[in-house]
Amino acid sequence: MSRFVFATAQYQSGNWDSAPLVPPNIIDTLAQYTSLDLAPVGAIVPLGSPSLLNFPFVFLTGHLPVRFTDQERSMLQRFVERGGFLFVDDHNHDIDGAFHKTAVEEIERAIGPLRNLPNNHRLYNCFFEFPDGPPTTGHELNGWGDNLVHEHLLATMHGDRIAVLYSNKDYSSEWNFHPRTKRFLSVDPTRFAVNVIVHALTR
Amino acid sequence: MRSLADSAQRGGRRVRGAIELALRSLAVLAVLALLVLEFMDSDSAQRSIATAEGAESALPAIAAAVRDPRVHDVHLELATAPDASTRDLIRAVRRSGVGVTWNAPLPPAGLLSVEPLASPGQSQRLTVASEVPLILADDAGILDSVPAGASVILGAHVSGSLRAWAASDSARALATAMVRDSLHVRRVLVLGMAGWESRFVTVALEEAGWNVDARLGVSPTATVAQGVIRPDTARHSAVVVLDSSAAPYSNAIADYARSGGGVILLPDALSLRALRSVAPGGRGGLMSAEDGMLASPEPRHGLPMVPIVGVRDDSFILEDRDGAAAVAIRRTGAGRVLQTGYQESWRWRLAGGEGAPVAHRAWWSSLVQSVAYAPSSGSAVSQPWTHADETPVAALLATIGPPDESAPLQEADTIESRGIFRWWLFGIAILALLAEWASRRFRGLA
Amino acid sequence: MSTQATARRTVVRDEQSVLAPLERARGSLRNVAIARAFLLFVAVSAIAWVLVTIVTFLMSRSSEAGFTAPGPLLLLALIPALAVAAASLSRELPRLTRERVALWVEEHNPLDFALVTAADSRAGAAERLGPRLTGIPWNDLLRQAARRRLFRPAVAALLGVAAAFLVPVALTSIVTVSIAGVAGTSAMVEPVRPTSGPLAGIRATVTPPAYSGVAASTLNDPASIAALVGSRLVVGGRLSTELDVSALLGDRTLPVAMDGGSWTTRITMPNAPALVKLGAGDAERMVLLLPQPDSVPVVVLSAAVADTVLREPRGMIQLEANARDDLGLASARWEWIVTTGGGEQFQARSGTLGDVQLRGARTAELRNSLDVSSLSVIPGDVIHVRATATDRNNIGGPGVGTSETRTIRIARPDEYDSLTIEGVAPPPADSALLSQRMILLRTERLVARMARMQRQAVVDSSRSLADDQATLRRRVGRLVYQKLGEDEDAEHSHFPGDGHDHGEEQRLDPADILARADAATGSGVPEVLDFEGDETPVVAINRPLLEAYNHMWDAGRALEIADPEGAVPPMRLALEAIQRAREAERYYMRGRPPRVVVDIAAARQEGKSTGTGSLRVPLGADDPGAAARVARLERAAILAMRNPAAAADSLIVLQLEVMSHGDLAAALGEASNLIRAGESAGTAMARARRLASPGGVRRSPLSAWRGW
Repeated sequence: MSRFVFATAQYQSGNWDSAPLVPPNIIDTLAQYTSLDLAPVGAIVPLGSPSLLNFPFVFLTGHLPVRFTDQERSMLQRFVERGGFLFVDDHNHDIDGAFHKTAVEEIERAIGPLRNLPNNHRLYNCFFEFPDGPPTTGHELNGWGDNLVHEHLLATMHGDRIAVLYSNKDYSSEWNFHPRTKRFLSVDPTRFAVNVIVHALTR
Repeated sequence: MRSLADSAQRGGRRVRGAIELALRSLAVLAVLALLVLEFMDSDSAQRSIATAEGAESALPAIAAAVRDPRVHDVHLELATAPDASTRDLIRAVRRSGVGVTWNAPLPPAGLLSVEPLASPGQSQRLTVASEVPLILADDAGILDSVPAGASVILGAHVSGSLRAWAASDSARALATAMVRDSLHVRRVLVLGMAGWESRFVTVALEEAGWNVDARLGVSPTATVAQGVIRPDTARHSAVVVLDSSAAPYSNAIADYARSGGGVILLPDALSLRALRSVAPGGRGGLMSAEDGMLASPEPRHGLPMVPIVGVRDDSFILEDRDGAAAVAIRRTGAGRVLQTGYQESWRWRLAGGEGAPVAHRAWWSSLVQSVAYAPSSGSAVSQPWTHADETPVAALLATIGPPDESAPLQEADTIESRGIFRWWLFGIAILALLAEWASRRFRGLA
Repeated sequence: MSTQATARRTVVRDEQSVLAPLERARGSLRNVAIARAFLLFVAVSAIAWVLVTIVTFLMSRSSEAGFTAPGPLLLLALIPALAVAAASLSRELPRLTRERVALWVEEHNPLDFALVTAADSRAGAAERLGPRLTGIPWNDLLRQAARRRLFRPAVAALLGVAAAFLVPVALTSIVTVSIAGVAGTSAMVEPVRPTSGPLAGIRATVTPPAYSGVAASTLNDPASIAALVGSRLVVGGRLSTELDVSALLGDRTLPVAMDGGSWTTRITMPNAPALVKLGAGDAERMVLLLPQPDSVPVVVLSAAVADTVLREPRGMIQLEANARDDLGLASARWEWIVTTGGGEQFQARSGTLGDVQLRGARTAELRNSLDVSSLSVIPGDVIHVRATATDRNNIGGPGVGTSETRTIRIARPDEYDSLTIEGVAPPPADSALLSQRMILLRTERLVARMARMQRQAVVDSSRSLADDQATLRRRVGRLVYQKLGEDEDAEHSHFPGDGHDHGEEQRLDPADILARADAATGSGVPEVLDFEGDETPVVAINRPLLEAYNHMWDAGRALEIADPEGAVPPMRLALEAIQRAREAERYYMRGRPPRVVVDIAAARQEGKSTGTGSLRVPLGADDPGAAARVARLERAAILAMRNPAAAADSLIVLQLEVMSHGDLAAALGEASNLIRAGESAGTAMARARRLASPGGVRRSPLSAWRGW
């Protein structure tokens, strides 16, 4: 079996390491709910490096502006064309924020337009059921950031496949805690990550 | 008068004596000839010449010839050019240790053959027996060029008949061929845990045009499924078993293979006993990937590999890496089982050189083609084409070599005729001895 | 005796004079027989030749071996002809005895056997019968005989010869047509010019948008028109008959102006490929419109050369960039974003700097200085700067081009960063990169010239390069130790036995250096996530430089022993390592991420809920339309043999549908243009077929196996 490694993208322009506990938390969640073969630690992969192509699933987050270098843009294009899945989360939760504006511009320039992903997409029921679309986060409900509850995730499609999944919902904050904390939560907020990864692994 | 009668009687006795001597000599000669023949047969390698009208009678003819354990060299005289089944038969008999030569009248335009491949696309196996590179064209114009003496895949649709001519002489068509049959290609079933290998294998096969059924395990209670999961020759051309998550179906997969289906086994699938029983070999120790090879001309060297060890006698190694068997195949019952030692082939697709996704797709498609159960769905020829080859002679020549014309087409010295000759000799000896004995009895001698 | 002899000679002379016409007639008949044999020979040989030719042709058709006129087989045709001629002569000549010729004359001109009797030498009556033989019409008799004997053979010979000339020509033409028809190459071998119709010979005038400054141009009889989006097109032609011309752009009807015998229609080039369908009576024609997008400006940043970290929130940063555009630039400026904050709270401000109007210049240079203090930044802030330029496209634009972005971070008071520099000069790794590239180039040049140089000159040059390489290596060594927070000159102080003995330089021991690196950054325990080999970020920065240092050492050693060829590979590796170090420096690190190793076994199946299975939807083939496209292309190729204009239109429609497949669309466009021009389109069609069905001829990745 080929082992799943949760990879975090390291890009030159911003704080790519703004949510360092997301990877172990999601790995722990995957172990709890699935029998997937998992690497126990995440990997950090430079976006402009050929080693990006060793990780078909890559998570990218941050607060600061995202400006890809030519090398990063080129590698990202190759990554997507060859079947990679990039999950981008706006750690600012602010559609007027620097991350959102620059990241969307860069993704659209490198890959293609971001469009609303319908809330009945198979992403939302491929393992856990999320009948209302992407689960809301505490930051949305508490009115931080842009003070909006975002109804949809955005996606850039490559044929029939999601190539880039983009979230304004600040899952980076929602999931950025030590896995051990989960035992004290009545509802596990990281379950949606299982859907994202199961979808990436099977479609 | 008496003296005259006596002399006549003496003369008659002399004649009868001479006849009896001749009969005895004949019997002795016949027995000697039998001994000589027996000595020759036991002393020298026996070459049997079997004759057959066509493909249907080739197998019985060869079987009859090799029934004699002393025979280890068969010459097959065919009335018509051998078809694909016959050439496979010849190759199979050769692999069993019996030398087979053959001769048949070949059609003049035998430089080119084209046969459909069990693939979802418009692919044909093209075999060229020419010594010069050829240009290919069909009814709609030039298709491509093909190197000399090659067996290649033509991944293009052929409109009507296929023609070839030497690049240096475009005025003369050297050979013609056309696709005679079309195959009924069915679905491919992929069984494995959700992971990058299962995902990219499924995607590669789908991109190549295969219709895929899949069962990708996510948790003990949840799977991601597509289509019908149970292997069935009525629905599936091949089953790809990625790992041991196929355990619930392992017996069904083995039965599927024996009943004609094609099965591809990855190393982790060999932990299932039912699949080990049909696999071409066993699992060796892990060979790690060679650094930097994914983007090289030999990208599979850049993959980790579990070599196939203990390859069965009836298996055939299709590819090896550094002397270790990487891909092996065997026939099991009516079906075929292919075992590949390569792991994590998805790395090739993602991190390989230019064109790696296409190469990865072609590789997986070719693995499935090698085993796919694809019955013929009848002639693909909508109208008779008098200039096309009846048989894929070029493929024949590439597979079993040229005909052996040194053996005469009509030779009396066949196994059967030699056997009959022995009986004749035996009969002559017996009859001669009987006649000689009777003559002597009538003469009142003992 | 002499009298008798004289009398006998006289009788013979008389006899000869009487029978002379008979002998002449006999000679003429012999000539007729020979002529007849000759004519039979010609007739039979010609007929045999024709038959051989036809048989050869039929055999060539059945074997597809190709047909050529069978020259050597002419000999075969001569054999029956010679036989017939010989038979004729052997039958005719023996019959022409004097008596039988006399009988033949008597048969046509009865003389009561006087001539026969005279001809009989035994009768000796020639002289006596002489007067009775004077009235024979020898010439008439011989003419009739010649006509009767030669007419039919002559006709047969004429017909045979005619057939011998005509049949091969006819068969060769049949074979040419056959090959063309069968191979589908007639469009390539024998181009057929499309039949002219009322819509043949159209003209198109293309006037690009004013902002482009490009002059108008005219195209004659185009199959497709490529022009900038927004270009004005005037398409028109002349009609010899009174017909109305219609024009459709997609589903929209275009107005067509008729003026006497000419017509015109005006079109604005759309922003997506489209088809114009022209109609006049029964005639139809298609013209493909291919919009050429105005490319966006290209902006290249030349300074600042690298991202950097400033110790203080002040100072000037020199900014330089070049911009260029194919049609002309409108303006250019610098854009900056300043991000302030920390933790989960960040604010961003943005603005521009050095805005210039370029008024259509094709190239421009931007040189400005960014006063950091004017941005009111505080420690921890991050400045992003990039150059942008716009073009003058007022149709679908303006197009905006941007340069790479430079990130300038203001160091926080609580962090120490050894890379802190001011004024954004090239960082040491960058200058090392340039120097190493230079040494590599010089070494490669030396390798190329080595064969023509004296050995001593090679040694001298190589040692000179070795000195330069050593100097650079020491610089990189200092850089490594500088980053480790040690004395720049400490390169030689780390190794036992190395200290002050410069003659015993050694390679750096990565393990030792990495341990020191960890110590220098205060990270005794590597508590980080996997970082490309489980290294701390600082080590990741230093490892490439360490590698570069060691490769330089290898290269220098090779140069010292005058082996420049052996020095090239380590030099390349050093170059690549410096490049990696250079890139690694640019990552923003706010600290060391915690390393959390998940206990998978403990967590396995401990979740509070259970997921469910789902159905997967097939993704489909990579190019599902390929088969249909190939079939249409094949039909168009076959159609080109009998109706080139229709085939060209089919290809144009197909081209419109495959515009996303750039190469295929181009090949189809080329093929349609060639077919419309009546030229050979074979190569373009073959290329289009290969692109439409990209499988082509390829080797199987696996050995052939058919399951024996």
